[in-house]
Amino acid sequence: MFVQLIENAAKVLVYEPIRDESLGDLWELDYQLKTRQTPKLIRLIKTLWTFLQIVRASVILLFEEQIIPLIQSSHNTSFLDHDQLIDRTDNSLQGKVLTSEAIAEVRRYCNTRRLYNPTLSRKLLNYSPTPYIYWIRQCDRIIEKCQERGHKSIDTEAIVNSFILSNLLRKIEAIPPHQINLEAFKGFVQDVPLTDAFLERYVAFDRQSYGRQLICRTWSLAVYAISWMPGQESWLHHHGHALDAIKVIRGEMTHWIVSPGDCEGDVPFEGFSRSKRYEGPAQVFTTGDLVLIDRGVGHQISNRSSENLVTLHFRFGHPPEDNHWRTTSDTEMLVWKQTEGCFDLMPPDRDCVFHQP
Amino acid sequence: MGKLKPMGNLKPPSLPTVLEEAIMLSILERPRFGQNIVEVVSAASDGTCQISCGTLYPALRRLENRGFIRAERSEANLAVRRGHNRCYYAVTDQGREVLNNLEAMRHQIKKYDKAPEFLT
Repeated sequence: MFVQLIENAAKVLVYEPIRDESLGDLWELDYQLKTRQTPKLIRLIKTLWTFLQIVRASVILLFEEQIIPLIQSSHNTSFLDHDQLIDRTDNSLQGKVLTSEAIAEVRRYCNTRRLYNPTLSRKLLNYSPTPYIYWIRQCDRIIEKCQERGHKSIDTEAIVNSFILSNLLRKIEAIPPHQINLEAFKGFVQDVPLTDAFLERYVAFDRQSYGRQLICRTWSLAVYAISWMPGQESWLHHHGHALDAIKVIRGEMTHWIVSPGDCEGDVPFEGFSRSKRYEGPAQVFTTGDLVLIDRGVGHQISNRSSENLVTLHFRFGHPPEDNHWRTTSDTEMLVWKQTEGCFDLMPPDRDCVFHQP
Repeated sequence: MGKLKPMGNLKPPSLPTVLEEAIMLSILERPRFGQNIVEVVSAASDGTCQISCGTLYPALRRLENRGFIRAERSEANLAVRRGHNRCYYAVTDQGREVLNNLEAMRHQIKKYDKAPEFLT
């Protein structure tokens, strides 16, 4: 009865982004008191006190993250010249380009939607009209789909990054595959602004060997992150007819590019079988560097530093088939899914099971 | 006197407060969840520094928003937590750099204080 009362009160009084963890911590504290055989009345008072503190935290966060930015943004908008606003609206509605401003606006809108319905959110954010209405509508569509499938919270980071990846996929798929060469592929992937907070979800180190975590996959493109502990390495291989772009997210990557004539015998195709190690001259890449591997060219990656290495891979073509994939049952992954006449990157169905109490 | 390392683009309000620094130090070596952070800080300060939930969660969110720490949800101890996830926090590389810089700044200030008056 008391538990249910607190849980129900939390739905109204506790700020959604901290609700899950703070209530868990509250019950864990309560359990500790119980195991220490604290009298029931004291336990009750302590739990209530902690709950009040969580409500206090919610009020502070609500002001810091929602109300103050709203006041500031409405103050800034009131200074905008009317003609300037109309001009901005026309331009953006024509283009539907995912600019950094549009990304920031999507983020702000998702945060507001955590608390309010679409109409109130748009009103509060002064969207009449907004230059980013196309992206706001996309946001509503994804949120609605997720809620239909039982998602209880709005995952801003997943939505923002799914738009970034969708944008990339649409650009790539607008061109016939045989026309995409290494230079064109570089142009597509070099400035994909996936956020660190999003990529961190895919980082998982394994002492046994490097681990690969799929972010999304379509018929043309696979995006995945690989986590390398010091000393871990891929052996020499090539990717057949696929193009590959590797971005260093953090750490130091030692990399070898090997054309077939550079080593004795053939460079093997990637796969389950253990290939050979190449010991020729290497290049070292650090955070932010992008390396491109052309079709049929051999390469080898190693983490020869003392720090962990994380790399992000864009594969135009079939992704590798080997035993370095991590199981995805415990992590997020975006699924390219058909929704209302077009494709969107959506969090997978199992998330609704994952978030059920 | 050696120069302080530049603190990137951080403006003074972006530097962690004493409480935030204590939180970051408690998760420097290994990730911890909210209640665990409270216990560690309390034990390390012999009970003199008690962080309440009302202060802890906003501080964690601020640190996360500034990129000093990162959060990862885990389904640990679900039975005791009545189905709620644990959220483990760990210091990011940027957070480590800020802590190192703060340490260096303290060291420099102490050295500065000991310098002869004519130098100041």
